[in-house]
Amino acid sequence: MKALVIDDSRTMRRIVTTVLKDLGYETTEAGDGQAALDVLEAGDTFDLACIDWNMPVMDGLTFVTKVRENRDWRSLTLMMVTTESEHGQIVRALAAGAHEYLIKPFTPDALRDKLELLGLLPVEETV
Amino acid sequence: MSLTAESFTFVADLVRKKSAIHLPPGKEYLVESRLMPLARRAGISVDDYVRRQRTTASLTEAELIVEALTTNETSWFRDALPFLTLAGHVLPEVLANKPPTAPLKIWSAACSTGQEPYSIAMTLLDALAGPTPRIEITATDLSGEVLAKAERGAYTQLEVNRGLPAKYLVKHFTKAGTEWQVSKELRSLVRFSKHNLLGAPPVGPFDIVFLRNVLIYFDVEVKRDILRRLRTAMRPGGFLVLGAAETTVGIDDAWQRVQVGRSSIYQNTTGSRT
Amino acid sequence: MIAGTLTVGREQILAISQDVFAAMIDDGETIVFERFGDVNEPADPIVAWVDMTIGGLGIGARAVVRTERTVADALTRALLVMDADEVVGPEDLVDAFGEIANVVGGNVKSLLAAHAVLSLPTVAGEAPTMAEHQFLQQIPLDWRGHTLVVSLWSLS
Repeated sequence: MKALVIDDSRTMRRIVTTVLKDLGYETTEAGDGQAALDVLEAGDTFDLACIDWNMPVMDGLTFVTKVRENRDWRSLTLMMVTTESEHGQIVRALAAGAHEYLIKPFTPDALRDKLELLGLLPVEETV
Repeated sequence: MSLTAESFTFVADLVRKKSAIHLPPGKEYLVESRLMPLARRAGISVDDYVRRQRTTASLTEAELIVEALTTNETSWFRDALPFLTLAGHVLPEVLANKPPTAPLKIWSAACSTGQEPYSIAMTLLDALAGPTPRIEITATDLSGEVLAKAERGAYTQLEVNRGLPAKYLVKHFTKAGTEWQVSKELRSLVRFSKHNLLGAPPVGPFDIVFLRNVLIYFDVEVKRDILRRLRTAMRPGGFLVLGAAETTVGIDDAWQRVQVGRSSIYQNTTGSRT
Repeated sequence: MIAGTLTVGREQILAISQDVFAAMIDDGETIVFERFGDVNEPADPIVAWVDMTIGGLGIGARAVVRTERTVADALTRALLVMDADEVVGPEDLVDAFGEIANVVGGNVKSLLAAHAVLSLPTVAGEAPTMAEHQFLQQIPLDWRGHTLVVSLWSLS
């Protein structure tokens, strides 16, 4: 399984990638939505993208919208991982095409739970 | 205030032997914060509490210590699979075999802080389309404290982050300050009450019972006793959902194991008539 | 200031801070509490803040976290899983401590009565000038015997 971790904070990318790697994921990091789009446009494919909302250059909501406009990327599961925690913001992200939503702060178990819901736990991890 | 190295090593060894969970050095604060309620109850410091346990080697206290260090917050849709089985297999089969006017009765036993019964309610509302039977979920636990929280239905952000699908969060919860409040609709489907699994079961008969990750804590005689009591409160042909590591096989043969995909559920071959 | 927009209580700031520390730093354990008694100003401070701006009206709020540099270093080591004696570089410090302010601020934002936009965090060696801000709330926190102060300001 491969994940694209998109956050302007290296600290947060580190936290997310550490959990994903422990679960058996290969990870690639991007510092904003545009950098993440560049990775996808270069042809690299992923099972999952973990996406921060507030980032410089291109925010996470715009990234989600752009990914959903491109049929080639339809198999990519999009999960917002963000401190935006108002009811209305979550509704906006889901309407834009995000599949799941994890609110910061989160524990490693919470990220694992979301992957289980999405059917994206690598096989040896599912009991 | 602080825990000595000897005390920490003692607790880490105890937890490793009993639960296979490894507490490496550096987790002293975890031991302190988890054992604080036990020590406070005994009226002594955490370190004194651990010292006392080293001397007395009390089995009861040893269990409490291990439990305090290994218990984690409850997830919504815990293990995910049982809820898929509920919507995809159990529910259609139960509905096919009962009159459309009869209420659908479900028991969530040992429901803790309410995540399981509310997850069941959300699954049912999603799976039932068109004219639906009345849903009655009975949720029970031994602890009045956890039931009070379950009944209030207000959860912290860290709690709603644990396995609750975002589509359900926005559909069934509203934000109230730093907490998320379960909707009135969902709460109206669940009735909470205090109950001991070794006592008389709540009023059924139930079509579906969830009893997950409870039997593992008991020896085989108590398991058999609990399973027999359960049957008396269930409809014939009703379904029992256990934890992934639990089974009725070899304990109480009145249950038939039904394999659904990767999960097993248990069908009652006896039980009360209505 | 729009009346009622910024009714964020001390207990709410405490609850958010406790969640942030428990989830990101302390393995799920709540070991952050309100610190009572005198709180000394940090001798070598490090300050991080985020702004929440309400829809082009030029009003909003600012959440500020301040502490001793040594404490910010310890938090950075914890967040980036560094060794206890590893030297914390300025880039790591700014990124990690800024992310704490970002997550605290983002959650405070969700308590505002009106929708606001969150800024990226700023980290500095001294508090920002806030001549136009009004002080709303502050709460001193105890984390493993160290002090951090979270404060909230309004801009009208």
